[in-house]
Amino acid sequence: MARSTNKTLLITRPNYDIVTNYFYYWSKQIIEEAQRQGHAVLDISEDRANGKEFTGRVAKMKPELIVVNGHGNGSLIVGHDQRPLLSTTNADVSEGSIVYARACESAQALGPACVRSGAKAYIGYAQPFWLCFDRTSMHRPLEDKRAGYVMIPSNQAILSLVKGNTAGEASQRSKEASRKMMTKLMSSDAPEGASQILSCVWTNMHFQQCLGDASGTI
Amino acid sequence: MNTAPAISDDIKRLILARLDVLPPDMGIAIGGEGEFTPTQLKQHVQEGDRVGQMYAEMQLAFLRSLKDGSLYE
Repeated sequence: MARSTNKTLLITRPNYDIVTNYFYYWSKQIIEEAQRQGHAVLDISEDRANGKEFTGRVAKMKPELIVVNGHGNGSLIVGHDQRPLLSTTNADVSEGSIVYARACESAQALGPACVRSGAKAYIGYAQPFWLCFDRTSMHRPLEDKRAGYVMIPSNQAILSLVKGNTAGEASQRSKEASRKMMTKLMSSDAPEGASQILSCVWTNMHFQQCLGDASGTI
Repeated sequence: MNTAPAISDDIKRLILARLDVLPPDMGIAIGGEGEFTPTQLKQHVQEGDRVGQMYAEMQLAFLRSLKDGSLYE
């Protein structure tokens, strides 16, 4: 797909507990693909993943795509060490951008607030984001096959946006990736604990929402 | 998802039976609620606390999707 210009991706990668550590490492694939596509990447990671840095960078650079990794609730996503990053009170920073939020429940109120504030689209989760992982692989998150069943479909939404697909297509491709994972998990060579992983993949797929303009692209 | 009534004994038994078959090295993270082993989740389900309720409701929703054939929707 031809694109007229290169775009800017801003990604937050806090890293202070098991979940954010998995998000931190699994986001590397996104950064690499964005760079391969010729996009500029603003990587706000670890202790720089705080509200001041995030708001300042977004306001200055006006990224076409904002990827927020972190813990969340209906109206707030926190960054490093649980410091507020994006909430209904600073949702206006997302004006003109597409937002993908890998966090719990933010599609309930934060997503709609971003769209009302002018975000083109917001892809997020209306319920908790569930992650299964192998406790023996925690120090090598990218080698954790259990986590891969959950993280690959999630990453697919962002990779699809990076490649120029619409927000609606990105969400659909993520859900298609989830369905492929579910089929693998129901096959005869499914891993131990497949039923649990399957329930996590299904829940994330079921509650992933694309809000705003589904035809929007970065 | 967090405002549902207490978990009934029948549901508890079903959820606990599913947790019983998980490998002990399985980790399950529920966003900001934390990360849990199957044994820890069993305890939360037995106590019927917030984490136990969240887990039970997630499992029930998933099992219903299996039953009504909407898993892939």
